[in-house]
Amino acid sequence: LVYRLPEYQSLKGSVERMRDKLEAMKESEAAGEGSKGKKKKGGRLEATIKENETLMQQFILKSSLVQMFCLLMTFQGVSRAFAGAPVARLPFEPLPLMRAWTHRGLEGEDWRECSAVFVYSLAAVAVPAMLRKLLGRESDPMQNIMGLKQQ
Amino acid sequence: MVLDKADAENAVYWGKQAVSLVLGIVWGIIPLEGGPAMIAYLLLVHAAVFGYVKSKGIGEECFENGYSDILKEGLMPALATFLVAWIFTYNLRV
Repeated sequence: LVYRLPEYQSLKGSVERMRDKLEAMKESEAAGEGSKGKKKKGGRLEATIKENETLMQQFILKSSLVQMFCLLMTFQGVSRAFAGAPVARLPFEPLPLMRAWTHRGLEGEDWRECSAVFVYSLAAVAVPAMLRKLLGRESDPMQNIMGLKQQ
Repeated sequence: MVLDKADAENAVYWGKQAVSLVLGIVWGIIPLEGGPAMIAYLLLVHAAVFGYVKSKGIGEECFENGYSDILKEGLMPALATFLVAWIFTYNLRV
């Protein structure tokens, strides 16, 4: 739906080729072979790479919005299905800041009782990151859009 | 041994995941409880990964910011894996 579209693939291919060219240019500049013309060309190449990356992010934004929506719906479903029922007992006493998260929807003051929301959030952090690594996607597309991490 | 940046990061990431999973299961089986168990995990996981990196001779130049990248790489997913394993095995016993 997104990553296999020919437009996305061609943008990705051209960004990779331009990055390789830019790397080669920077290496030759570092070796002292650079000229003013080459530096200008390098600057134009960087600007084109940035433009293409912005276009790629528009594709990624669509898939990220769908992902976020699905996560939110699942979160709501889990929250409602297990409301009021502790699903596990924590092997530690959570910090006061964490109690709103670990004890969400539960009554009483036994803070070691754990809500489904906490377990779901932990799994939501651990599993997608592992899958992304296994499938060869270097980083979270949402983080790229928010500028938190370079892809 | 000289690895490229991506391979060095992957080695640290998967090393942390494996150690976190094993420690989570072991902590749940013993069982260990409380803050000291969490601190012991954090120390052990980084010591294990750092020891592995050193034993394989992976140099500091393989990481963008030197060995300090070992602390940051994959920390949150590893911590989440550890907590899930720890809570799950702890509750199987309880």
